[in-house]
Amino acid sequence: MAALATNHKNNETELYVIHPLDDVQEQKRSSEGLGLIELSPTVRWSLRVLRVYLIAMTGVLLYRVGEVAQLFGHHAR
Amino acid sequence: MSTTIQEIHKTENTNKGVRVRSGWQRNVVAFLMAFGPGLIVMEADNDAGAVSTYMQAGGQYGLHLLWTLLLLMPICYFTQEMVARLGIATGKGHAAMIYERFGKWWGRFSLIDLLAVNFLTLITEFAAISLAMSGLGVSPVISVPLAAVALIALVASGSYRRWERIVVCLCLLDLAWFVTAALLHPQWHDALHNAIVPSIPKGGITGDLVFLVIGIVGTTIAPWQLFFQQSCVAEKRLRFSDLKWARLDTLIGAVFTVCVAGAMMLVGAFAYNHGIAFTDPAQLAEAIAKVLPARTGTFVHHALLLLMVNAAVLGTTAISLASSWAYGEVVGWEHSMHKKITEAPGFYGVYAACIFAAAGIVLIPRLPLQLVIVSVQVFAGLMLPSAIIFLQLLLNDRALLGDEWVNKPWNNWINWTIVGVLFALSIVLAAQVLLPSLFR
Repeated sequence: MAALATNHKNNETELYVIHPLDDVQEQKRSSEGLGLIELSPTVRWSLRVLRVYLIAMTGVLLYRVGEVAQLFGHHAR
Repeated sequence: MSTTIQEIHKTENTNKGVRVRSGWQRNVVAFLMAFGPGLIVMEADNDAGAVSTYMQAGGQYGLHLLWTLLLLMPICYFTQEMVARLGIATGKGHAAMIYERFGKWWGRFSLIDLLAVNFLTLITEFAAISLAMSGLGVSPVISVPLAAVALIALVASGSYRRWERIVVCLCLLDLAWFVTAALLHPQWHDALHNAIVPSIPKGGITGDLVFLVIGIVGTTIAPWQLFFQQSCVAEKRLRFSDLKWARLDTLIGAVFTVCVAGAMMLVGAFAYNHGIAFTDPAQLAEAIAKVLPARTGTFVHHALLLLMVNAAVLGTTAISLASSWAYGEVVGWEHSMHKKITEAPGFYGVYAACIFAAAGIVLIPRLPLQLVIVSVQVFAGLMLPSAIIFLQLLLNDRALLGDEWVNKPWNNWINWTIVGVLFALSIVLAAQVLLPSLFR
């Protein structure tokens, strides 16, 4: 972010602030080689329930939208 | 440290660093350099749908629902702070992280859901542009394609920095909401009181009130925001040392967006106080102009319509970018505004396709817009809690983030509470729309 430099002429310390896009890219936390996240059995089970819930709700929503848009041949409103 | 020394030489050679004379100046300049993603993500969330929702809240209940905004401010901040932290720590977008850490199924499901809800939202943004510009006398056949081309040109310049500067300026144009609200002479004391002290409107808790409160929550915190800010932070290559500035940026964005939303509600409350009935903001702008003295009325009318266009433009560019970044991350395409169109054709192609398709749909006569708006709200409501669950799990991923960047226990308490509240609201919203007979 900021860099320190010494001005040799008058021996003053100078500060420079560098924009992130102009800076050298730093090493980030990498997921390479980690594989999938480790989850406890409870969390894994909860995610399965969430998956079923989301699929079911998406299906119901699509059906309801179709019904309101009168795609199924009758007036739903 | 070696990086720092290299940078000094690089800076001296290329003159890319900004020289400062004190630690105080350094902090200000460093903040300004990191500033952007937090403000943009928050302010872009005050999009056309939000303008409509906040104005309806004011129009139907006066100042009674102002307190919901104050309550939502910390929720916005804590959620987006996690995204900024994850983006800085990994340098990758949210879609990429879900795909890598939770597998293909969740990665693709999140992506498809995001693209679907974003696309529906884009239709509402262009519908707002069409509506507002019609109010100013410009035909949708001209305004909608022009807006689409301008939005593509904004991104296609091949420079993240240019895009960010322009969009930050557009965000700051929203300061005009305060001027517009002030011209309507609201009762500031009552507004402040209602913002701090929760109150229930006269009719008590009704199905309509619950629906509107959920609408306010849904419009203030949207799933695309998680994907957008993380990708934006990664695109800007924010460094670990920028985290405190990214947090401040996010906090400023949260405060600003809630204040702007409050100003929108004050405008809506003018209709409540004067018995004006309206179904959309353009109609309200016209009605207000008739009540006010000629010159003020014309100014407020034009200001409201132009601010509506600005809200839609901000929403469109941010949402389309969230889609194209996420798509690029999952399919492994080049996905960066630093690349030219020829270097990242897929990224720019998805962005342009989203915009052109949404703009084209809006030009279809007799489009069932109300159906689109309700679908957006329910879809987003369904998706948001699960998206935050993944965010929360990723922020507890010690193998990925190490001890330094994972959530602290107090973070987890706050975030699980937010997830619980959002899940409850999501279920109520879904039930209300899908089984409306339950709420009659």
